[in-house]
Amino acid sequence: MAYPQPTGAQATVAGQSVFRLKTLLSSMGDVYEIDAGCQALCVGPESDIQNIKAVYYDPTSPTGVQSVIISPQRSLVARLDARLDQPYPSSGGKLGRILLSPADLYDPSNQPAGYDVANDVLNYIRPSLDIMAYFAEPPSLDAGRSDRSYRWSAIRKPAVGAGNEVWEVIPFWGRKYACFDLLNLNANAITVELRGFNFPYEYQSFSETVISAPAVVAAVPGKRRIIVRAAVDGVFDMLGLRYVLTTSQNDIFIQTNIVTSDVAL
Amino acid sequence: MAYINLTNVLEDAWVSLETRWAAGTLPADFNSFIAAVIAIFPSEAGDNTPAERTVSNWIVMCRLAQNENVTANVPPYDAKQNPSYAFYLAALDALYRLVWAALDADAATPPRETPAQSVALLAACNAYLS
Repeated sequence: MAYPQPTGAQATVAGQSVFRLKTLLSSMGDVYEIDAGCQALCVGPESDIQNIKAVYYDPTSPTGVQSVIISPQRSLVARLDARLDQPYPSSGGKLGRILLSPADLYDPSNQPAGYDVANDVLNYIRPSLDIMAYFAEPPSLDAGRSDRSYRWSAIRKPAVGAGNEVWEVIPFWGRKYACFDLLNLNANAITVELRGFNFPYEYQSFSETVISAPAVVAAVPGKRRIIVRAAVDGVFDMLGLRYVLTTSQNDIFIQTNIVTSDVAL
Repeated sequence: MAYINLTNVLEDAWVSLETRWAAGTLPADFNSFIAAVIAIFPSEAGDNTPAERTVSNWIVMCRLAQNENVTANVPPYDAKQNPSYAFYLAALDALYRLVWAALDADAATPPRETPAQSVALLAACNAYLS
C-alpha cells in the first residue's frame, strides 16, 4: 500500500470535482481513507479488483458502522459523508472517515501445483485498485471497466540451470472473457498451459483449474490462441500462464498478447 | 518480512472459526477482541505509523461483523443459539484481513508494526479463537 496514502483532501482544496484513488495493492489488508464526503462512488476504469467495500459512519446502524460494496455493475450514486467530527463508536476514537478496501481476495504467496520454488520463476502481476469519488453530482455516471491488455515479447529463462518453467499470473477478477495470442519466434518449441485460480480464506491454498492443458507451440513461427469464456470455463480471480522451456537461451522470444474484458464475447 | 509466522496465524484463524461455527460454539462476543486490538494499535492519536493507521481502520471494519450478530440478541434468545452464518463470514473476513493488514510488511516501505505488536496481535487472535 502506498504510504503516505492520498485521502482526497488535496483534491477538495484544489476545487477538483473528482478524487481518483489509483494504487497497486500490497495485500488483502490494504485500507484507504477519504477525508471528504462525496456525491457518488464508482469503480474506476482501470481497476483490476472488481468489488470494492466502502465503510462509513451510520448512526442508524447497531454498531455505528455500515458498508456498501460497489462494482463495475453497481455504483453508489448518493451522498456519502466523511464524518471527521464524529468517531466511530467503540473504536478507540477513530474518526468517521470513509474507508475503502478490496472486497475480493488476493494472496500472492500462493504457488501453483508443480511449481519448483528453488528453480522456476513465478511472476504475479500486482492488481490495481481504481476508485472514483465525485465531489459534485455527475451529470451521468459512466461506470464500467476498460478492457485490459498485457503484452510482452520475451520471457527470461530462470537463472538457475535446473529451472525451466516461467509463470505469469494476471488479474481476472470479474472478467468474462480473455484471449491469449502466442507467437513463438524461437528455433525450439515451447509448451504452454493456462490455469485459473480462485483464492479462499486460507494461506497458500488457492484452487486451481486447468483451462487449457499443456500443448506445444511449435518452433518459429509457431502460433497458439487460447480463449477463456466465463460461461464455458468458469470465473476466476487470476489466470496463470505457464511456459515450459527446452532451450538453453536466456531470452526466450515468444510474443504474448493478452486481452481481458468484462464483456462476455 | 513478517515478524511472526503468518502461516500459523492465518491457518489457525481459519480452522478455529470454521470448526467452532460448525460446532455451534463460535464466540459471538467480538467486542472484547476489538478492545484487545485497540490496546495494541492505538487509534487516531497514535496514527503515526502505517501499522497504527491501517489496523485501526480494520478495527472499525471488525464492528461490521457485529451488525450481523445483533439478531442473536433479539428475543426469543437461546444462549446456545448458533451465531448466524452471516456473522461467521463477516467475522472471518474481518479477522483474516486484519491479520494481513497488520503483518504485511513491504520491504520497500517502513515496517508496518513492531515485533511486540505482532506478538500481541497473535495473542489477541488466539484468545478470541480459543
